[in-house]
Amino acid sequence: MSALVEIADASMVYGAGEAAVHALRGVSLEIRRGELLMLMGPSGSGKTTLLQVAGALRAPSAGEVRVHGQSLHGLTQAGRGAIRLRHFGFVFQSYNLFPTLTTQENVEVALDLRATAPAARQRRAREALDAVGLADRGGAYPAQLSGGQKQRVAIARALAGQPDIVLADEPTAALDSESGKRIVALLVAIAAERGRGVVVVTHDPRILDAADRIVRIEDGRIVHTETRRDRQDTAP
Amino acid sequence: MDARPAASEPPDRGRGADLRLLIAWRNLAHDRIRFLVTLVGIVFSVVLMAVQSGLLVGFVVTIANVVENTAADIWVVGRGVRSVDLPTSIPERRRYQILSLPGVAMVDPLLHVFAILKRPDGGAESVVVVGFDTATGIGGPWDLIEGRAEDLQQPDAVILDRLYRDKLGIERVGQVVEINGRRARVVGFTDGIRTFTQAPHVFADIKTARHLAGFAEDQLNYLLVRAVPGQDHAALRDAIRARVPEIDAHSRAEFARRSVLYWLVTTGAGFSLVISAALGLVVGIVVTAQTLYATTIDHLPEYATLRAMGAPARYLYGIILRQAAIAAGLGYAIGIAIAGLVVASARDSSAAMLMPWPLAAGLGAATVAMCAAAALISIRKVMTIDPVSVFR
Repeated sequence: MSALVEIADASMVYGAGEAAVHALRGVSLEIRRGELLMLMGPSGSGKTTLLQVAGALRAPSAGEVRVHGQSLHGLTQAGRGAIRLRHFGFVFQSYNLFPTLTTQENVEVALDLRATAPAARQRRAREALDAVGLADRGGAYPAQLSGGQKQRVAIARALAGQPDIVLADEPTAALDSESGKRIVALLVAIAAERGRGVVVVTHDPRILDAADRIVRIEDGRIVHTETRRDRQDTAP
Repeated sequence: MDARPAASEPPDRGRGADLRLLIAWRNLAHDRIRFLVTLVGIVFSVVLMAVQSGLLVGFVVTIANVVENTAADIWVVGRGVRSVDLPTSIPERRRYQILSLPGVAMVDPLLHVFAILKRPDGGAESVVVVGFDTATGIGGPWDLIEGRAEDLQQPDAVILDRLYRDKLGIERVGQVVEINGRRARVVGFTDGIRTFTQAPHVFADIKTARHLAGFAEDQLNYLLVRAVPGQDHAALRDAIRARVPEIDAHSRAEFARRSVLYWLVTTGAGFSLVISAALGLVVGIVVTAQTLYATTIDHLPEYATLRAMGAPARYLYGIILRQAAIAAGLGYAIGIAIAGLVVASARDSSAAMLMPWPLAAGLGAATVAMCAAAALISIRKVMTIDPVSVFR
């Protein structure tokens, strides 16, 4: 598995002086092709900050982040935006769908951002919805969908732009058990089928079995890493 | 699980070719009442600007209409005369001094004098008696709908505009009226010769006009000079000024502009119309800015999501500018239609309100500029969104 994203000794400090908050302290991490990586940790441990740093949303206070070998150091907000657009797909806890657009149009937005021609944009959005099992709901508005369906639309949107890396922030937090399982199955397939790197921030212990690697963070540090093989080796 | 592009994609066409336009429209139409309020604000602004600008254009056209519609190349006026409505007397001998200059083809006299017309019901109205040489017709009426200019060669004959029939109590050709206590007979009507001073023009042969005004036989207000073909008008104007330094000479365009500027600037009348039109623009900007901003605030999570996804800045303000363009387009279409009805309804009134196509086009540009300016605040807001806010 080759590294799509390399985070080297990254620290993130919010504020200054006595009020300074150390969200990350010297974290090093690789996001690899074909791997489903789960970031676990208590609230405030720094896992979402790590996701943001990995996803070129934030520049770390110290350390380095490379995407496909390209350092993000010194990039402007627009430069980081271009990196996100080219390489990342995002799935958010609260779906973040456009309430005034249909599911088909919501997915098309990701393609429109990439200046995809209208006919191709519509076709590929339909295909992305089909891939998440919502081909028949293209005309529905988000308000007409269940939580699980909304998250599947969000995944379709994240995939439509054919990113190398998919970052998902608590994708199952608002879902019931069945919907959560379906979402996790989708994320597993995303990583396996096209060799994408998938990173999931989660509190949800029900989905950990699907992970290729589990990274546990506390107080801004990686305190434990466990691979699928480690889990198999320790299984009774 | 993937959506790879086909080797050859079909041509761009069909629904939603411009997705940002669709997003912009849905953002606006999502809250229909607020969108309606926005449109009402823009329509109000367009109508206000159109009416005030239309009055201003009508004002300008009306002030200079006698000058513009007179086939004179040079207007010779009394020293210091600032507007065609405010003439002074010129002795007739100036006419012969000017006629002696090379390059002068003809010099016609024009009388332009305020008088009192007595209405049949006993009331009185101010009029401006315009006396011209009916032999040449220079300075005479135009756009006649009843009678002929030659009819003014009859004794006591006058021609007025139909717009002022009610004001002057005149119903028909042949009616006898009293001007400055002297008899005059209506021989025709013009259509649309408005007067800025609200004292209607009464066209008459110069002899009749002098009689009605109580002027001496050699008294006149203007000399209308026609140059021989090929003569440079500016050079002739300068030659007249040099030959007769006691008077002023202006080209037709100069005298029209001088008259317009006098009323627009000196009296403040034009200024108030311009201020009213500008007020309309400001109202439009404020209303549109407020609504666009409120719509933007409502949709901040979506803009934050777009930023997190890596949307370039131009994509985001493209949406907001499209919202502004939609609001401008709809508001302008409705507003200009209402303004057109107002202009049409004013066609028979004595207050000129004109809407030439360059003005309508200019109002369209002003409306677009207004909405674009209103969008700037929203653009500024969107560009300051922190993309990580989507994770909170």
